[in-house]
Amino acid sequence: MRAVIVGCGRVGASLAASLDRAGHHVLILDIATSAFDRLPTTFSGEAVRGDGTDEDTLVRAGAQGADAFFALTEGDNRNIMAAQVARESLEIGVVVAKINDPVRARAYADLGVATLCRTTLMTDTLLGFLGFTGSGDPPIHHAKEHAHPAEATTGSGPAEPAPGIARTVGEV
Amino acid sequence: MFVIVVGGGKVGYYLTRELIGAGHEVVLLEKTRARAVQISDEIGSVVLSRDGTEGSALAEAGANRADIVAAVTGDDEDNLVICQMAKHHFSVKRTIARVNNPKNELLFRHLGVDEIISPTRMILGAIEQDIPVHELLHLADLGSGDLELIEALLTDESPAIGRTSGELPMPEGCTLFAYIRDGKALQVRPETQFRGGDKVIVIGRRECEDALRGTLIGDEEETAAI
Amino acid sequence: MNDSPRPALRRIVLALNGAPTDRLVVSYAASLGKPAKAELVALHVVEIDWTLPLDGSVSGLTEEAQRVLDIAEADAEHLGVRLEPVLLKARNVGAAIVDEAASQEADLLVLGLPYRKKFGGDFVMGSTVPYVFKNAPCTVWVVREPMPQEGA
Repeated sequence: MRAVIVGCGRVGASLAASLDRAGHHVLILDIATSAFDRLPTTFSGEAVRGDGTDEDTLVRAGAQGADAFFALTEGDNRNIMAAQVARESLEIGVVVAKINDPVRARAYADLGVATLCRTTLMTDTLLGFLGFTGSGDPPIHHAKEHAHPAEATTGSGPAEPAPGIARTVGEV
Repeated sequence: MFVIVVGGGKVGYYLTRELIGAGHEVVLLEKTRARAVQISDEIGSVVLSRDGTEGSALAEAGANRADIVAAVTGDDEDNLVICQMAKHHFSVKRTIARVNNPKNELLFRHLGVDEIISPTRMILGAIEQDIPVHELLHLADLGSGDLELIEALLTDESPAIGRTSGELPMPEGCTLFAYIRDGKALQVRPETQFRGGDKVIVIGRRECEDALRGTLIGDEEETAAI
Repeated sequence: MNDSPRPALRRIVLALNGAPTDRLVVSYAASLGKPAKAELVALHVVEIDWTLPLDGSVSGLTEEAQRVLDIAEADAEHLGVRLEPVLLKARNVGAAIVDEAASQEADLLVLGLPYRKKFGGDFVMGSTVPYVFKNAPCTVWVVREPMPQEGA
Protein backbone atom coordinates (compact mmCIF):
# COMPACT_ATOMS: atom_id res chain seq x y z
CA MET A 1 0.00 0.00 0.00
CA ARG A 2 0.92 3.68 -0.20
CA ALA A 3 1.13 5.42 3.13
CA VAL A 4 1.63 9.10 3.97
CA ILE A 5 3.05 10.04 7.35
CA VAL A 6 3.10 13.64 8.58
CA GLY A 7 5.62 14.25 11.35
CA CYS A 8 8.91 12.41 11.55
CA GLY A 9 9.16 12.17 15.32
CA ARG A 10 9.82 8.92 17.15
CA VAL A 11 6.45 7.41 16.28
CA GLY A 12 6.40 8.72 12.71
CA ALA A 13 9.93 7.55 11.95
CA SER A 14 9.39 4.16 13.54
CA LEU A 15 6.12 3.57 11.69
CA ALA A 16 7.72 4.72 8.42
CA ALA A 17 10.64 2.33 8.92
CA SER A 18 8.35 -0.61 9.70
CA LEU A 19 6.06 -0.05 6.73
CA ASP A 20 9.06 0.47 4.48
CA ARG A 21 10.66 -2.78 5.65
CA ALA A 22 7.40 -4.59 4.97
CA GLY A 23 7.62 -3.46 1.36
CA HIS A 24 5.08 -0.63 1.36
CA HIS A 25 5.54 2.70 -0.31
CA VAL A 26 6.04 5.38 2.33
CA LEU A 27 6.00 9.17 1.94
CA ILE A 28 6.98 11.01 5.12
CA LEU A 29 6.84 14.78 5.67
CA ASP A 30 8.29 17.02 8.34
CA ILE A 31 8.89 20.75 8.56
CA ALA A 32 12.48 20.11 9.64
CA THR A 33 14.87 18.05 7.55
CA SER A 34 16.85 17.23 10.69
CA ALA A 35 13.89 15.08 11.77
CA PHE A 36 14.69 12.68 8.95
CA ASP A 37 17.85 11.69 10.83
CA ARG A 38 15.57 9.41 12.81
CA LEU A 39 14.91 7.30 9.73
CA PRO A 40 17.14 4.25 9.30
CA THR A 41 19.77 4.47 6.56
CA THR A 42 18.04 1.59 4.82
CA PHE A 43 14.82 3.62 4.42
CA SER A 44 13.85 3.50 0.75
CA GLY A 45 10.71 5.66 0.87
CA GLU A 46 10.44 9.39 0.22
CA ALA A 47 11.16 12.03 2.82
CA VAL A 48 9.92 15.51 1.97
CA ARG A 49 10.39 18.72 3.90
CA GLY A 50 7.12 20.62 4.11
CA ASP A 51 4.01 21.56 6.05
CA GLY A 52 1.71 18.55 6.16
CA THR A 53 -1.35 20.72 6.86
CA ASP A 54 -0.91 22.46 3.52
CA GLU A 55 -2.88 20.89 0.70
CA ASP A 56 -0.55 22.10 -2.05
CA THR A 57 2.49 20.74 -0.26
CA LEU A 58 0.81 17.37 0.15
CA VAL A 59 -0.23 17.26 -3.47
CA ARG A 60 3.21 18.29 -4.70
CA ALA A 61 4.77 15.59 -2.55
CA GLY A 62 2.46 13.06 -4.18
CA ALA A 63 0.11 12.30 -1.29
CA GLN A 64 -2.94 12.13 -3.49
CA GLY A 65 -4.31 8.66 -4.02
CA ALA A 66 -2.57 7.22 -0.96
CA ASP A 67 -4.23 4.34 0.85
CA ALA A 68 -3.52 5.56 4.37
CA PHE A 69 -2.61 8.82 6.04
CA PHE A 70 -1.14 9.26 9.52
CA ALA A 71 -0.87 12.67 11.20
CA LEU A 72 1.73 12.20 13.92
CA THR A 73 3.27 15.61 14.65
CA GLU A 74 3.70 16.97 18.17
CA GLY A 75 0.73 19.34 17.81
CA ASP A 76 -2.78 18.00 18.33
CA ASN A 77 -4.31 20.73 16.25
CA ARG A 78 -1.84 20.36 13.43
CA ASN A 79 -2.67 16.66 13.30
CA ILE A 80 -6.38 17.38 13.30
CA MET A 81 -6.01 19.81 10.45
CA ALA A 82 -3.69 17.60 8.40
CA ALA A 83 -6.09 14.68 8.84
CA GLN A 84 -9.03 16.72 7.67
CA VAL A 85 -7.12 18.01 4.65
CA ALA A 86 -6.28 14.40 3.80
CA ARG A 87 -9.84 13.25 4.15
CA GLU A 88 -11.72 16.18 2.68
CA SER A 89 -9.36 17.49 0.01
CA LEU A 90 -7.23 14.50 -0.91
CA GLU A 91 -10.06 12.02 -0.30
CA ILE A 92 -7.82 9.47 1.37
CA GLY A 93 -9.88 6.68 2.92
CA VAL A 94 -7.89 5.65 5.97
CA VAL A 95 -6.87 8.66 8.04
CA VAL A 96 -5.58 8.56 11.60
CA ALA A 97 -4.62 11.57 13.74
CA LYS A 98 -2.62 11.44 16.94
CA ILE A 99 -4.42 13.62 19.48
CA ASN A 100 -3.08 13.64 23.01
CA ASP A 101 -6.03 15.49 24.54
CA PRO A 102 -8.65 12.80 25.23
CA VAL A 103 -11.55 15.25 24.93
CA ARG A 104 -10.49 16.32 21.46
CA ALA A 105 -9.65 12.72 20.51
CA ARG A 106 -13.23 11.70 21.16
CA ALA A 107 -14.79 14.78 19.64
CA TYR A 108 -12.93 14.27 16.37
CA ALA A 109 -13.78 10.61 16.17
CA ASP A 110 -17.37 11.86 16.17
CA LEU A 111 -16.44 14.24 13.38
CA GLY A 112 -15.12 11.46 11.19
CA VAL A 113 -11.39 11.39 11.95
CA ALA A 114 -9.97 8.23 13.49
CA THR A 115 -7.93 9.31 16.48
CA LEU A 116 -5.18 7.82 18.55
CA CYS A 117 -4.79 9.23 22.05
CA ARG A 118 -1.43 8.66 23.73
CA THR A 119 -2.77 9.82 27.10
CA THR A 120 -5.60 7.29 27.22
CA LEU A 121 -3.41 4.62 25.66
CA MET A 122 -0.66 4.91 28.26
CA THR A 123 -2.98 5.32 31.20
CA ASP A 124 -4.92 2.23 30.18
CA THR A 125 -1.76 0.25 29.55
CA LEU A 126 -0.37 1.12 32.98
CA LEU A 127 -3.66 0.35 34.71
CA GLY A 128 -3.84 -2.92 32.80
CA PHE A 129 -0.28 -3.72 33.85
CA LEU A 130 -1.42 -3.35 37.45
CA GLY A 131 -4.41 -5.57 36.77
CA PHE A 132 -6.98 -2.73 36.90
CA THR A 133 -9.63 -1.86 34.39
CA GLY A 134 -8.82 0.97 32.01
CA SER A 135 -11.08 3.60 30.52
CA GLY A 136 -12.66 1.06 28.21
CA ASP A 137 -11.89 3.38 25.30
CA PRO A 138 -10.41 1.63 22.27
CA PRO A 139 -6.74 2.40 21.45
CA ILE A 140 -7.95 4.05 18.26
CA HIS A 141 -11.29 5.81 18.18
CA HIS A 142 -12.73 4.78 14.88
CA ALA A 143 -14.20 7.54 12.83
CA LYS A 144 -17.95 7.58 13.00
CA GLU A 145 -19.27 6.71 9.56
CA HIS A 146 -20.96 9.36 7.46
CA ALA A 147 -20.60 11.94 10.18
CA HIS A 148 -19.88 14.73 7.77
CA PRO A 149 -18.48 17.56 9.83
CA ALA A 150 -20.56 20.28 8.22
CA GLU A 151 -23.77 18.50 9.14
CA ALA A 152 -22.83 16.55 12.24
CA THR A 153 -24.75 17.60 15.31
CA THR A 154 -23.10 15.30 17.80
CA GLY A 155 -21.79 15.97 21.25
CA SER A 156 -23.66 18.96 22.56
CA GLY A 157 -23.32 19.93 26.18
CA PRO A 158 -20.27 20.71 28.24
CA ALA A 159 -16.94 18.98 27.81
CA GLU A 160 -16.63 15.72 29.64
CA PRO A 161 -13.66 14.98 31.83
CA ALA A 162 -10.75 13.11 30.30
CA PRO A 163 -12.02 9.59 29.83
CA GLY A 164 -8.89 7.69 30.76
CA ILE A 165 -8.46 9.38 34.08
CA ALA A 166 -11.45 10.52 36.08
CA ARG A 167 -13.52 7.48 35.48
CA THR A 168 -10.95 4.76 35.93
CA VAL A 169 -9.50 6.04 39.15
CA GLY A 170 -13.00 5.94 40.57
CA GLU A 171 -13.32 2.32 39.50
CA VAL A 172 -9.96 1.45 40.97
CA MET B 1 -24.63 39.13 22.65
CA PHE B 2 -22.11 36.88 24.43
CA VAL B 3 -18.93 36.46 22.44
CA ILE B 4 -15.91 34.26 23.20
CA VAL B 5 -12.76 35.56 21.56
CA VAL B 6 -9.82 33.15 21.38
CA GLY B 7 -6.33 34.56 20.87
CA GLY B 8 -5.07 37.72 22.55
CA GLY B 9 -2.83 39.01 19.80
CA LYS B 10 -3.43 42.41 18.25
CA VAL B 11 -6.59 41.26 16.51
CA GLY B 12 -8.07 39.59 19.57
CA TYR B 13 -7.17 42.50 21.80
CA TYR B 14 -8.77 45.19 19.67
CA LEU B 15 -11.74 42.98 18.84
CA THR B 16 -12.40 42.44 22.55
CA ARG B 17 -12.10 46.13 23.28
CA GLU B 18 -14.43 47.13 20.47
CA LEU B 19 -17.03 44.50 21.39
CA ILE B 20 -17.06 45.62 25.01
CA GLY B 21 -17.36 49.21 23.85
CA ALA B 22 -20.37 48.21 21.78
CA GLY B 23 -22.01 46.78 24.90
CA HIS B 24 -21.49 43.08 24.30
CA GLU B 25 -20.48 40.55 26.91
CA VAL B 26 -17.04 39.26 26.01
CA VAL B 27 -14.51 36.81 27.39
CA LEU B 28 -11.06 36.51 25.86
CA LEU B 29 -9.02 33.31 26.03
CA GLU B 30 -5.26 33.83 25.80
CA LYS B 31 -2.97 30.94 26.61
CA THR B 32 0.20 32.92 27.32
CA ARG B 33 -0.11 33.92 30.94
CA ALA B 34 1.94 37.11 30.75
CA ARG B 35 -0.05 38.37 27.78
CA ALA B 36 -3.34 37.48 29.49
CA VAL B 37 -2.34 39.47 32.58
CA GLN B 38 -1.23 42.40 30.47
CA ILE B 39 -4.57 42.55 28.66
CA SER B 40 -6.67 42.20 31.79
CA ASP B 41 -4.64 45.02 33.36
CA GLU B 42 -5.69 47.14 30.43
CA ILE B 43 -9.29 46.19 29.80
CA GLY B 44 -10.46 44.48 32.96
CA SER B 45 -11.37 41.03 34.15
CA VAL B 46 -12.56 39.58 30.87
CA VAL B 47 -9.50 37.43 30.22
CA LEU B 48 -8.96 33.77 31.01
CA SER B 49 -5.43 32.45 30.71
CA ARG B 50 -6.38 29.19 29.01
CA ASP B 51 -5.72 27.38 25.75
CA GLY B 52 -8.94 27.81 23.79
CA THR B 53 -8.36 24.66 21.78
CA GLU B 54 -8.91 22.60 24.94
CA GLY B 55 -12.49 21.53 25.41
CA SER B 56 -12.32 22.28 29.12
CA ALA B 57 -11.17 25.85 28.47
CA LEU B 58 -14.09 26.56 26.18
CA ALA B 59 -16.40 25.04 28.79
CA GLU B 60 -14.96 27.30 31.49
CA ALA B 61 -15.37 30.30 29.23
CA GLY B 62 -19.09 29.59 28.96
CA ALA B 63 -19.24 28.10 25.45
CA ASN B 64 -22.50 26.47 26.54
CA ARG B 65 -24.23 29.85 26.32
CA ALA B 66 -22.05 31.71 23.80
CA ASP B 67 -23.72 33.26 20.77
CA ILE B 68 -20.46 33.59 18.84
CA VAL B 69 -16.98 32.11 19.08
CA ALA B 70 -14.30 34.06 17.21
CA ALA B 71 -10.99 32.23 16.77
CA VAL B 72 -8.35 34.81 15.91
CA THR B 73 -5.05 33.24 16.93
CA GLY B 74 -2.10 33.34 14.57
CA ASP B 75 -2.31 29.60 13.88
CA ASP B 76 -4.80 28.33 11.35
CA GLU B 77 -4.90 24.84 12.80
CA ASP B 78 -5.77 26.21 16.23
CA ASN B 79 -8.50 28.42 14.79
CA LEU B 80 -9.99 25.47 12.95
CA VAL B 81 -10.06 23.28 16.06
CA ILE B 82 -11.52 26.07 18.20
CA CYS B 83 -14.39 26.60 15.76
CA GLN B 84 -15.05 22.90 15.30
CA MET B 85 -15.05 22.23 19.05
CA ALA B 86 -17.34 25.22 19.60
CA LYS B 87 -19.72 24.14 16.89
CA HIS B 88 -19.91 20.42 17.45
CA HIS B 89 -19.13 20.03 21.13
CA PHE B 90 -20.93 23.10 22.46
CA SER B 91 -23.45 23.81 19.69
CA VAL B 92 -22.36 27.43 19.34
CA LYS B 93 -24.51 28.99 16.63
CA ARG B 94 -21.89 31.12 14.92
CA THR B 95 -18.19 30.51 14.58
CA ILE B 96 -15.73 32.89 13.00
CA ALA B 97 -12.16 31.97 12.13
CA ARG B 98 -9.21 34.05 11.13
CA VAL B 99 -7.39 32.28 8.33
CA ASN B 100 -3.81 33.25 7.67
CA ASN B 101 -3.09 30.95 4.75
CA PRO B 102 -5.67 31.94 2.10
CA LYS B 103 -5.53 28.39 0.77
CA ASN B 104 -7.27 27.22 3.93
CA GLU B 105 -10.41 29.28 3.34
CA LEU B 106 -12.17 26.62 1.32
CA LEU B 107 -11.24 23.83 3.69
CA PHE B 108 -12.49 25.77 6.71
CA ARG B 109 -15.76 26.57 5.02
CA HIS B 110 -16.14 22.96 3.98
CA LEU B 111 -15.46 21.82 7.54
CA GLY B 112 -18.28 23.90 8.92
CA VAL B 113 -16.75 27.19 10.04
CA ASP B 114 -19.50 29.79 9.53
CA GLU B 115 -17.42 32.81 8.75
CA ILE B 116 -13.87 33.15 7.56
CA ILE B 117 -11.79 36.26 7.78
CA SER B 118 -8.55 36.23 5.84
CA PRO B 119 -6.34 39.25 6.46
CA THR B 120 -3.90 37.95 3.88
CA ARG B 121 -6.65 37.73 1.27
CA MET B 122 -7.98 41.15 2.17
CA ILE B 123 -4.61 42.82 1.84
CA LEU B 124 -3.95 40.88 -1.33
CA GLY B 125 -7.25 42.10 -2.69
CA ALA B 126 -6.44 45.67 -1.75
CA ILE B 127 -3.06 45.45 -3.42
CA GLU B 128 -4.49 43.94 -6.56
CA GLN B 129 -7.09 46.70 -6.66
CA ASP B 130 -4.48 49.31 -6.05
CA ILE B 131 -2.05 48.12 -8.63
CA PRO B 132 -3.69 50.44 -10.98
CA VAL B 133 -4.89 48.68 -14.05
CA HIS B 134 -6.37 52.08 -14.67
CA GLU B 135 -3.48 54.22 -13.68
CA LEU B 136 -0.50 55.61 -15.41
CA LEU B 137 2.65 53.76 -14.60
CA HIS B 138 5.95 55.58 -14.47
CA LEU B 139 8.52 53.62 -16.33
CA ALA B 140 11.45 56.02 -16.30
CA ASP B 141 12.56 59.61 -16.18
CA LEU B 142 14.31 60.65 -19.32
CA GLY B 143 17.50 62.53 -18.66
CA SER B 144 16.65 65.68 -20.53
CA GLY B 145 14.47 68.11 -18.52
CA ASP B 146 11.16 66.81 -17.22
CA LEU B 147 10.34 64.21 -19.82
CA GLU B 148 9.27 60.79 -18.68
CA LEU B 149 8.31 57.42 -20.05
CA ILE B 150 4.78 56.41 -19.09
CA GLU B 151 2.80 53.25 -19.56
CA ALA B 152 -1.01 53.14 -19.58
CA LEU B 153 -3.00 49.92 -19.53
CA LEU B 154 -6.23 50.42 -21.47
CA THR B 155 -9.38 48.81 -20.14
CA ASP B 156 -12.54 48.22 -22.12
CA GLU B 157 -13.92 51.37 -20.50
CA SER B 158 -11.08 53.56 -21.69
CA PRO B 159 -12.20 56.50 -23.87
CA ALA B 160 -9.39 55.60 -26.27
CA ILE B 161 -11.02 52.30 -27.25
CA GLY B 162 -12.47 52.20 -30.73
CA ARG B 163 -10.70 55.35 -31.90
CA THR B 164 -7.62 55.61 -34.01
CA SER B 165 -4.49 57.00 -32.54
CA GLY B 166 -4.75 60.03 -34.83
CA GLU B 167 -8.16 60.93 -33.37
CA LEU B 168 -6.98 60.98 -29.75
CA PRO B 169 -6.58 64.43 -28.22
CA MET B 170 -2.95 64.39 -27.13
CA PRO B 171 -1.48 67.10 -24.91
CA GLU B 172 1.27 69.28 -26.37
CA GLY B 173 4.62 67.63 -26.44
CA CYS B 174 3.39 64.09 -25.75
CA THR B 175 3.87 61.25 -28.18
CA LEU B 176 2.24 57.86 -28.29
CA PHE B 177 4.99 55.86 -29.83
CA ALA B 178 4.45 52.20 -29.08
CA TYR B 179 1.95 49.76 -27.68
CA ILE B 180 2.10 46.22 -26.43
CA ARG B 181 -0.55 43.74 -27.52
CA ASP B 182 -0.46 39.98 -26.89
CA GLY B 183 3.07 40.26 -25.63
CA LYS B 184 4.33 41.98 -28.79
CA ALA B 185 5.64 45.52 -29.01
CA LEU B 186 4.13 47.38 -31.94
CA GLN B 187 4.65 50.83 -33.34
CA VAL B 188 1.75 53.27 -33.02
CA ARG B 189 0.58 54.62 -36.40
CA PRO B 190 -2.08 57.27 -36.93
CA GLU B 191 -4.53 54.57 -38.04
CA THR B 192 -3.82 52.23 -35.09
CA GLN B 193 -7.04 51.30 -33.25
CA PHE B 194 -6.64 50.48 -29.57
CA ARG B 195 -8.29 47.62 -27.77
CA GLY B 196 -8.87 46.79 -24.12
CA GLY B 197 -5.72 45.17 -22.67
CA ASP B 198 -3.33 47.18 -24.81
CA LYS B 199 -0.43 48.78 -22.98
CA VAL B 200 0.36 52.13 -24.47
CA ILE B 201 3.79 53.67 -24.07
CA VAL B 202 3.99 57.46 -24.07
CA ILE B 203 6.78 59.97 -23.82
CA GLY B 204 5.59 63.19 -22.29
CA ARG B 205 6.12 65.99 -19.81
CA ARG B 206 5.23 65.45 -16.19
CA GLU B 207 2.62 68.22 -16.12
CA CYS B 208 0.72 66.49 -18.93
CA GLU B 209 -0.14 63.46 -16.79
CA ASP B 210 -3.64 64.64 -15.96
CA ALA B 211 -4.51 65.29 -19.57
CA LEU B 212 -3.05 61.94 -20.58
CA ARG B 213 -5.07 60.18 -17.94
CA GLY B 214 -8.23 61.79 -19.32
CA THR B 215 -7.41 60.65 -22.85
CA LEU B 216 -6.25 57.11 -22.14
CA ILE B 217 -7.96 56.06 -18.93
CA GLY B 218 -10.96 58.27 -18.34
CA ASP B 219 -11.70 60.57 -15.44
CA GLU B 220 -11.28 59.60 -11.80
CA GLU B 221 -14.92 58.97 -10.89
CA GLU B 222 -15.46 56.66 -13.77
CA THR B 223 -12.41 54.57 -13.11
CA ALA B 224 -13.10 54.39 -9.41
CA ALA B 225 -16.38 52.68 -10.19
CA ILE B 226 -14.76 49.94 -12.26
CA MET C 1 6.63 63.77 64.22
CA ASN C 2 4.06 63.50 67.00
CA ASP C 3 1.90 66.25 65.60
CA SER C 4 1.63 64.80 62.10
CA PRO C 5 -2.11 64.68 61.49
CA ARG C 6 -3.84 61.33 61.39
CA PRO C 7 -5.11 60.58 57.93
CA ALA C 8 -8.79 61.30 57.56
CA LEU C 9 -10.87 58.14 57.92
CA ARG C 10 -14.31 58.86 56.62
CA ARG C 11 -15.12 55.60 54.97
CA ILE C 12 -13.67 52.12 55.36
CA VAL C 13 -14.53 49.27 53.00
CA LEU C 14 -14.30 45.79 54.52
CA ALA C 15 -13.89 43.05 51.94
CA LEU C 16 -15.36 39.86 53.38
CA ASN C 17 -14.87 36.40 51.96
CA GLY C 18 -16.86 34.12 54.26
CA ALA C 19 -13.72 32.73 55.94
CA PRO C 20 -12.92 32.97 59.67
CA THR C 21 -10.79 36.02 58.84
CA ASP C 22 -14.02 38.03 58.44
CA ARG C 23 -14.24 38.23 62.25
CA LEU C 24 -10.76 39.73 62.42
CA VAL C 25 -11.51 42.19 59.65
CA VAL C 26 -14.68 43.43 61.34
CA SER C 27 -13.08 43.79 64.74
CA TYR C 28 -9.97 45.63 63.53
CA ALA C 29 -11.97 47.88 61.25
CA ALA C 30 -14.39 48.65 64.07
CA SER C 31 -11.64 49.54 66.52
CA LEU C 32 -10.13 51.88 63.97
CA GLY C 33 -13.35 53.30 62.59
CA LYS C 34 -15.32 53.83 65.77
CA PRO C 35 -13.22 56.64 67.28
CA ALA C 36 -12.94 58.28 63.86
CA LYS C 37 -16.69 57.97 63.35
CA ALA C 38 -15.96 56.44 59.97
CA GLU C 39 -18.63 54.83 57.85
CA LEU C 40 -18.06 51.09 57.52
CA VAL C 41 -19.06 49.38 54.30
CA ALA C 42 -19.11 45.57 54.36
CA LEU C 43 -18.53 44.22 50.87
CA HIS C 44 -18.96 40.64 49.80
CA VAL C 45 -18.30 39.64 46.20
CA VAL C 46 -19.71 36.47 44.73
CA GLU C 47 -17.61 35.27 41.84
CA ILE C 48 -19.73 34.04 38.94
CA ASP C 49 -17.93 31.92 36.38
CA TRP C 50 -18.42 32.47 32.66
CA THR C 51 -20.83 29.58 32.23
CA LEU C 52 -23.51 31.78 33.81
CA PRO C 53 -24.67 35.25 32.86
CA LEU C 54 -23.87 37.93 35.45
CA ASP C 55 -27.43 39.19 35.64
CA GLY C 56 -29.01 35.79 36.04
CA SER C 57 -30.24 34.57 39.41
CA VAL C 58 -27.90 32.33 41.35
CA SER C 59 -30.25 31.49 44.18
CA GLY C 60 -28.23 29.18 46.45
CA LEU C 61 -25.13 31.27 46.05
CA THR C 62 -26.68 34.61 46.99
CA GLU C 63 -28.33 33.21 50.11
CA GLU C 64 -24.97 31.95 51.26
CA ALA C 65 -23.49 35.35 50.45
CA GLN C 66 -26.23 37.12 52.39
CA ARG C 67 -25.32 35.01 55.41
CA VAL C 68 -21.72 36.21 55.23
CA LEU C 69 -22.95 39.79 55.48
CA ASP C 70 -25.50 38.98 58.21
CA ILE C 71 -22.82 37.46 60.43
CA ALA C 72 -20.58 40.46 59.92
CA GLU C 73 -23.42 42.85 60.75
CA ALA C 74 -24.18 40.97 63.95
CA ASP C 75 -20.50 41.05 64.93
CA ALA C 76 -20.34 44.76 64.24
CA GLU C 77 -23.43 45.47 66.31
CA HIS C 78 -21.74 43.65 69.16
CA LEU C 79 -18.80 46.01 68.83
CA GLY C 80 -21.08 49.03 68.75
CA VAL C 81 -20.66 50.01 65.10
CA ARG C 82 -22.95 49.89 62.10
CA LEU C 83 -22.09 48.19 58.81
CA GLU C 84 -23.58 49.07 55.49
CA PRO C 85 -23.81 45.77 53.60
CA VAL C 86 -23.02 45.57 49.87
CA LEU C 87 -23.41 42.38 47.88
CA LEU C 88 -21.89 42.17 44.39
CA LYS C 89 -21.70 39.59 41.67
CA ALA C 90 -18.62 39.73 39.47
CA ARG C 91 -16.31 37.70 37.26
CA ASN C 92 -13.30 38.56 39.36
CA VAL C 93 -13.28 39.29 43.08
CA GLY C 94 -10.17 41.47 43.13
CA ALA C 95 -11.37 43.73 40.36
CA ALA C 96 -14.80 44.10 41.98
CA ILE C 97 -13.25 45.03 45.34
CA VAL C 98 -11.04 47.65 43.73
CA ASP C 99 -13.94 49.08 41.74
CA GLU C 100 -16.15 49.29 44.81
CA ALA C 101 -13.43 50.91 46.92
CA ALA C 102 -12.95 53.48 44.18
CA SER C 103 -16.62 54.26 43.66
CA GLN C 104 -17.20 54.49 47.45
CA GLU C 105 -14.19 56.79 47.69
CA ALA C 106 -12.93 54.68 50.54
CA ASP C 107 -10.02 55.97 52.64
CA LEU C 108 -9.12 52.46 53.73
CA LEU C 109 -9.73 48.99 52.43
CA VAL C 110 -9.41 46.06 54.83
CA LEU C 111 -9.10 42.47 53.59
CA GLY C 112 -8.72 39.16 55.34
CA LEU C 113 -6.20 36.59 54.22
CA PRO C 114 -6.63 33.01 55.40
CA TYR C 115 -3.41 31.13 56.12
CA ARG C 116 -3.39 28.40 53.54
CA LYS C 117 -0.77 26.06 52.15
CA LYS C 118 -0.87 24.21 48.90
CA PHE C 119 0.28 20.68 48.27
CA GLY C 120 3.98 20.74 48.92
CA GLY C 121 3.66 23.10 51.85
CA ASP C 122 4.13 26.54 50.30
CA PHE C 123 2.02 29.37 51.64
CA VAL C 124 -0.65 30.49 49.16
CA MET C 125 -1.44 34.16 48.84
CA GLY C 126 -4.02 33.68 46.10
CA SER C 127 -4.62 36.25 43.40
CA THR C 128 -7.02 38.68 45.05
CA VAL C 129 -4.67 40.27 47.60
CA PRO C 130 -1.85 40.95 45.11
CA TYR C 131 -4.37 42.35 42.66
CA VAL C 132 -5.84 44.68 45.26
CA PHE C 133 -2.37 45.76 46.42
CA LYS C 134 -1.48 46.61 42.88
CA ASN C 135 -4.68 48.38 41.90
CA ALA C 136 -6.59 49.80 44.87
CA PRO C 137 -6.63 53.61 44.94
CA CYS C 138 -6.72 53.89 48.75
CA THR C 139 -4.75 52.56 51.70
CA VAL C 140 -4.95 48.77 51.89
CA TRP C 141 -4.73 46.76 55.07
CA VAL C 142 -4.54 42.99 54.93
CA VAL C 143 -5.31 41.00 58.06
CA ARG C 144 -3.71 37.61 57.78
CA GLU C 145 -5.05 35.06 60.22
CA PRO C 146 -2.53 33.64 62.67
CA MET C 147 -0.62 30.55 61.63
CA PRO C 148 -2.52 27.49 62.80
CA GLN C 149 -0.94 25.51 65.68
CA GLU C 150 1.31 22.65 64.55
CA GLY C 151 -0.59 19.39 64.46
CA ALA C 152 -3.92 21.19 64.72
